Amino acid sequence: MPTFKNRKCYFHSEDIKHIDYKNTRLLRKFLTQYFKIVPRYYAGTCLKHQKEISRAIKNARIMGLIRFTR
Amino acid sequence: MDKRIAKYELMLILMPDMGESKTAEELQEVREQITSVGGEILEEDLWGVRKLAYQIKKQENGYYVVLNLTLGTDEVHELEKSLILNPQVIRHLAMRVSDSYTLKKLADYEAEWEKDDIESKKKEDEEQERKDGLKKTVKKVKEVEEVKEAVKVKEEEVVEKKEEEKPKKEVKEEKEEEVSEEEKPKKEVKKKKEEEPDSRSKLDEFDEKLRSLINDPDITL
Repeated sequence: MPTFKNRKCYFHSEDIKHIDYKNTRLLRKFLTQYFKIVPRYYAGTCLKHQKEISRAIKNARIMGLIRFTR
Repeated sequence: MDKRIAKYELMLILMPDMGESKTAEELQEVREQITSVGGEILEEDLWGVRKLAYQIKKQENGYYVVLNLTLGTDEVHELEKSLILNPQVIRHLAMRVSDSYTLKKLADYEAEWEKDDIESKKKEDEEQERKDGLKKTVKKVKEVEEVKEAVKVKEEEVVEKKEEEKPKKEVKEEKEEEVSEEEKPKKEVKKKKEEEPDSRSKLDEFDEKLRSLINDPDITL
């Protein structure tokens, strides 16, 4: 994930409109090796998409698609 | 109060050890419950038995079902209540989605992931090839750097002695060698030859050129 200035939100650059909690491969990009949600200052996502992705990750955790911790 | 109807996505995890006929019955019950209250099932995706990421209700596996449906906003709560009480449903998730939402099935996602895997593998292979190619170039670059250092030492000598003719020639020769190695356009060199300014200014130019060579990312990789 980029940590430089003028970086762009991943979902803006990829033009992803709906973040699906079933797409675990996508969610895995925004989890650390201990399955914690990557904070915004590392992930580089905008606030809107950070909220969406965190919601999606939590949904996926509840439904047993991703584990809570390692 | 008129009823508001919205689009929902419902995911169910059913008990894995029920057998096909029983799971089908259980699903049919849920469907009937939805349609009896005025709901409509738009799409359906049966994932089958999958491994859970962690134990839920002492189960390691679960039968996943995803339904897309339209329902009245009040009826959803009743549906959820009944799902909680149903012992065959391990866990459920009802999510409201926008009207333009279309269900993307698991098979599509898996195909996508496979594509990504293939692409990432290709990229890795290309990078390795590049690295192997770079190793050869790195050797060349090292030789060039040695030449540069030698040139620098000579330049210092030149500045100290302020002799013009002999070191100039040496510098010129090395310039040509470098140019041939780096494949830079020879026009620049020719122009510089034609101009032939004072020794000091020429040395400055040469300094700049050396710096550009050192800072050049293509060479110093």
